[in-house]
Amino acid sequence: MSSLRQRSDPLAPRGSDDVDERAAAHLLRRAGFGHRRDEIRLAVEHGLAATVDRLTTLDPPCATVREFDDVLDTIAAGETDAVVAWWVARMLRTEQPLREKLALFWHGHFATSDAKVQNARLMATQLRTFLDLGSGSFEPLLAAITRDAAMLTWLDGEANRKGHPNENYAREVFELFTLGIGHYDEHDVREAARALTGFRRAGGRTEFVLAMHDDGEKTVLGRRGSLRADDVVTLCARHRATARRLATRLLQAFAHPAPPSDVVDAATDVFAAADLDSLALLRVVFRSEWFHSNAVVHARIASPAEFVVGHVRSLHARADAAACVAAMRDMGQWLLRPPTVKGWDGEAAWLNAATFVARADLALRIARGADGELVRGGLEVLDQLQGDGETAIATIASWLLGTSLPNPVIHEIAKTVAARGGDARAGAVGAILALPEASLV
Amino acid sequence: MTTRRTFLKCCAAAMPAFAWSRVLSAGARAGAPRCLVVVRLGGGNDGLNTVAPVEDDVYRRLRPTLAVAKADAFPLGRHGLALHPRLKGLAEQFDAGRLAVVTNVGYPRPDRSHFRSMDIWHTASLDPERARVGIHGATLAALSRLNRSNREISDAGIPGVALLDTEMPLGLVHPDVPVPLLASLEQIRLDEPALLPLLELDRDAAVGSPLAHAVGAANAATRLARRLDGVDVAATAGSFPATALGQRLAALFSLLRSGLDLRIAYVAHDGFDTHTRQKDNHAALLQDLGDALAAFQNALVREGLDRDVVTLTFSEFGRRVEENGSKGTDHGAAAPLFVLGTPVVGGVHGDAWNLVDLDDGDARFTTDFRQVYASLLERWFGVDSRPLLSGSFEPVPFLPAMA
Amino acid sequence: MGSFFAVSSVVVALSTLSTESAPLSAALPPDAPLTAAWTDAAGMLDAFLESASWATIERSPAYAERMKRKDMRDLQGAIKIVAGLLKASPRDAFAQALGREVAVAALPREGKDEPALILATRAPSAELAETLAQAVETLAAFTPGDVDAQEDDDGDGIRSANGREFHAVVGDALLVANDRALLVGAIERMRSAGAPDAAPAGLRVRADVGALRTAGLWKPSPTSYDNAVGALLAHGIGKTLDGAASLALDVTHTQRAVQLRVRASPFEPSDETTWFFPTTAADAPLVLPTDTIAQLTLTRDFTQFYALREALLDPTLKGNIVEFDSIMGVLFAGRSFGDEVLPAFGHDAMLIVGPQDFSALGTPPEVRYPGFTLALRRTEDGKSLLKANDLLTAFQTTLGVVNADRGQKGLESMLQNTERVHGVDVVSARFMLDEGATGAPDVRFNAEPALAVTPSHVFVSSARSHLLALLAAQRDAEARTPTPPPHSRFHVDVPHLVTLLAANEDSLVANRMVEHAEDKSTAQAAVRLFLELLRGLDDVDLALEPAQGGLTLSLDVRTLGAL
Repeated sequence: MSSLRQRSDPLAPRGSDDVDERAAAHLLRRAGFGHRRDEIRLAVEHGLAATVDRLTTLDPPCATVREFDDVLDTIAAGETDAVVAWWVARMLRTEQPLREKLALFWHGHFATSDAKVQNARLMATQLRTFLDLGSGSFEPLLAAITRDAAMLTWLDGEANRKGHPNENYAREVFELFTLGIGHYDEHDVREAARALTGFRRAGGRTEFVLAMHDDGEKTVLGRRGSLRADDVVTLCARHRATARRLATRLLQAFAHPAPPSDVVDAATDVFAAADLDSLALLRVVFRSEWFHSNAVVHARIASPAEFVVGHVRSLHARADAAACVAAMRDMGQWLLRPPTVKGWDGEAAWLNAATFVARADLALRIARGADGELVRGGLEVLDQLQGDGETAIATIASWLLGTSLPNPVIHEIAKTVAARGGDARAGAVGAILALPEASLV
Repeated sequence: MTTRRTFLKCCAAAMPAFAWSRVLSAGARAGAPRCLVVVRLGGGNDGLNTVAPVEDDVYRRLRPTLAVAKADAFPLGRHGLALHPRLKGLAEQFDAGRLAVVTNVGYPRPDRSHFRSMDIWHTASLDPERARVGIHGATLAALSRLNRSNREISDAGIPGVALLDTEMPLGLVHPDVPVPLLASLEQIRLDEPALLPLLELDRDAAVGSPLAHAVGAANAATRLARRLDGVDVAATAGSFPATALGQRLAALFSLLRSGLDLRIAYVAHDGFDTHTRQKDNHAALLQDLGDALAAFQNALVREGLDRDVVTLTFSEFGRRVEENGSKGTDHGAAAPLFVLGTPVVGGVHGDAWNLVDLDDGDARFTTDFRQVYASLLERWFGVDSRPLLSGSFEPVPFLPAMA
Repeated sequence: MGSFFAVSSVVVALSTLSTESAPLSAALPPDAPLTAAWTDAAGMLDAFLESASWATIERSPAYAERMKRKDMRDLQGAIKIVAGLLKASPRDAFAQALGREVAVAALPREGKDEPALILATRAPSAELAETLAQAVETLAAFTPGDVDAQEDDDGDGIRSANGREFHAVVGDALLVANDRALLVGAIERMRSAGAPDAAPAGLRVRADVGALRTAGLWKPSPTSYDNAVGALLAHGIGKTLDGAASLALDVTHTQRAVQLRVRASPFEPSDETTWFFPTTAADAPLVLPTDTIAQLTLTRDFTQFYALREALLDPTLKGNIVEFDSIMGVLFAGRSFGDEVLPAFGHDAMLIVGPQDFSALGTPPEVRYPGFTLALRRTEDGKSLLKANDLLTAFQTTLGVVNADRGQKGLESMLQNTERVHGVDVVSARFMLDEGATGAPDVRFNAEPALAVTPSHVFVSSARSHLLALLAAQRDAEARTPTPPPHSRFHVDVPHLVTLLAANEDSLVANRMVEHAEDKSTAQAAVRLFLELLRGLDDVDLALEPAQGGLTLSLDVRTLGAL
């Protein structure tokens, strides 16, 4: 099996370093939010390897991100939705969108909801952890989340004390956060819960209280001893099932919702060899022939965050972050408030009649632009446009969507724009972003 | 490659003509899937004054200022029970045989915290922290599993809806079936109808592809918009009480009439935490409840939709039997609830109030709330209730057993 | 020589003006339901454009960006065209065209959507009036019209460029209308007008509400409100307007103030509005601390308002009303809020906003809110209805409920404190500082709710230190002469507001960065511009006073520098 994989590596790099506009836009959408014209041009000019390197180099943080870092404490003194707006503002402005995208991925993975935590500061601290550790190796991230104050509240870690074990966190660590069902049993859950005892919230921090910790002998995943939280973390993080499960989830979030099994095998190898470093895996994926194949381009349905932030960025526009937060909520994604510990279902579940209307209505608001309600500027990018009428509509569509629309659709857009009156280009932008195609990424 | 359009064409050819005529008659709900409407009476409704034992002397003694007068109340003809004088709307439904009154509903070791008891009702589990999945959400998930041929059990992808302006109730939360929270109908109507023809266009997209799914959602949205245009939402709203509950039920009625195949709709009617000066305030809330539910039920009957819809009311707990020193009542336990609808077996289901043998000052439950859910799951939706309720519960016969 | 000639010609022009011309408003049709007259617009514009505030705005990046927008570019283009025709700078062109005296009237036209309009303006000279007329003709040529309907002066002085507008020059005045008959009448009235009244400087708008109502141009006030504050602020105003025959608006300015007055008449309280316009006796007013930021006084019959709540508020709020009544019942130990709590208070309620003293915390919180204190007057009858102890119990119950709720959510609870200050019992509640906590305390340390009952008032405050400052001000005050309370008054002391905002500049910038997704320097510039503009102001005073015959709403804005 492994010799077969060596013969044809499913994640083999692309033969040529050249990228056309379509491939550049695809890469930008997946590694970030949307695709700006200037970024596309740069990518075409610099080639694939250099562009992937640029997109996956997150240290040091860009100036914009540093400025926002400085004000998080002030913002976290308010409501949790202000913390969400802070995050969305970073997504809108950052020059290193992959950091935000990975944080989004980990937020969906370790889905913690303010509905129960009810504390902006704790939610901000957890988000900070995703932003700081989300682009590195998995083990330190899992260790940090295991003692994270918001997680402790969310999955009853505080109620898990010596003599009174609460298995909530232990169960989800195995089932959702690392191994997945089938790689552990009930005994492991019970014993791991005992190993995880002893954490307590003290203000915004977590402290370990030895008197509350069950120091007795336990056996977890075959390992025996007076195990503590970090032992459980290490056992889970270094398990082969975890590498495969997380590699699969990363492929689903960044490449294809149903990656072929040979790709998953290859990704698992890369991921395991890189100490579960998500950036290392994504670097290989983004450069691969498979990632740039037709099966992967536009194969995902954009999450509300990708939809809103992506289109605003593609338009070179500036938006009110707080209004973006509300729009995402209408589309079914209330950040820092996922429905359950499983996070958001994503993909097909994002779209139904109600959430589609929310997307179309937002598209129209973006295009109205000048009213300052949600989005400012942005339509100036269309000044570079050549041609008029249906030709212009086709060009705008390919700019905004990274794909070309069928002629009957272009024709109908022209009719709609004419019927609605007003600024034709703004009208075309609104109609294009309201299309089903605009929800693909 | 099979594209979405050719797939539809094949289906059309294979389908008998009569089936098509049903599909195409927008708004008609012949053979439509069944819908459960859940009305939350948040805050803890005083069940004892809602369905009052007007002939019981103990009741008068324990409720010196609050007891409902026998002369004003609507007798139910069993156990000496009568509906609160302001529930005229529901009394008429009772007389028409469309209202089931299920008495003494509760659960063991009653919890008197609003939040925890509400969570217990919402999860159908006495350990709600553990469950964290709503019973109604789980019901929708079970229905979509039953419906294997098509993962969507609603053509608009909206099998359930919460009509309220606060937060999504835990009862509807399930990871597999996201459900929208609608503060008003505007949320599911396109801002600009001029876009409808554009969004109705089909594409040559492979079946099951993300594009086909997105096009399906767009089509569903336009279909809903056009149907809502056809049912005159404003006139419907005008014919319901102008209260918040009345208007939410009006919106729900418009959705049902538009042909949206909803399975579960959740509506909130809060404010029942009547610790002081209960009399007038509780009367006002019940008046609103009775009038709004009657308007809803009568509208369903008028439009011929009443065979497909039943309505359940519930509250996180009842209130103490004895009134407190502030002319109010404090948090209690077991209470009656209502099930309303044409398919309902009308009448009183369950025992009389027992105001002598109390459990720490509260009425004891004689019907487990999960028996009510069991009845709705088994007899309304035809779903095995055992996995959803983590146990076997005898259905309350307010619905006839399914054939 | 040349300068002498120029001066003398000005003298001549002025003398003709003073002998020949009546105020332009005399030209307006007497039956017009809507008229406006604006005298010395140029003076007002000059004062504004030369003020420090305008200089600040003009320097700002936000202004530069706004001017780049398409609608602003279009407007600038139009102004340039007119200025070009008048061969003057845009500002001078405005002064010439509209700067001395302008009058406008609108009348409904049967069978047409848009009303008949007439505008009269006085130019600096007859020659310039003629130039303006030509400018009108040029502009009219830009809009499509019936070229055949073009009309030259055939004796009656009336011209038209397109058959849709009609204009005439009468002396130094230019008249433009969209209805020929209207213009004919105006010319006649101008020629027969008697001795001039000196038109008062400023903007005057007069509306015949009855006529507008008949024409369907006046909407009745809402029948119910979707929140109680809206009803408390607006109900009586709406009802007065519904019954008003006329409405007068006057805007005047002096060196350091702008004043706006709106008067609706007649004003007669009806059964429906007696709660909104209660009769009140004179009483000793409260003395406010000198550093007070803002105050709002409302004089209403709150008991009657509460009794009418179901009629005044939207039916969808029915559940909320019931809930509110229940909660109040819990706080006041089962008393009826409407019958046993509200009647204990007088009609004038005052909300006072002032700075907090954070010295007890060591470091002030990162975000500093002001203190908000509500002062309710106790009536003699009310003192037996609701005793000081009942209020203290209500405070403690509230605290208990809040703590129970916070406890359920795992949040910190508040500790209660009772003290006697200036001979008054003050009960308050505060959060405890975490031991060993460093840095600025959390935002929750802005809340230190407090309650005090004096013989004359009940004070409920969000901040104990603000309440103590108010109590001190009462103690220090001289014996005060009873005065009737204002009906409605909102006053802001802008320099004190600026002090508060400036202390919070960092958090204002942070919030703006997040809200608008802006980088730090942009957000900082916007916040500073806002503060800079506020620094030009002294105070803002908004008041509503019912009086015999009319209801007057007045807004006074005083500036620190010259306007």
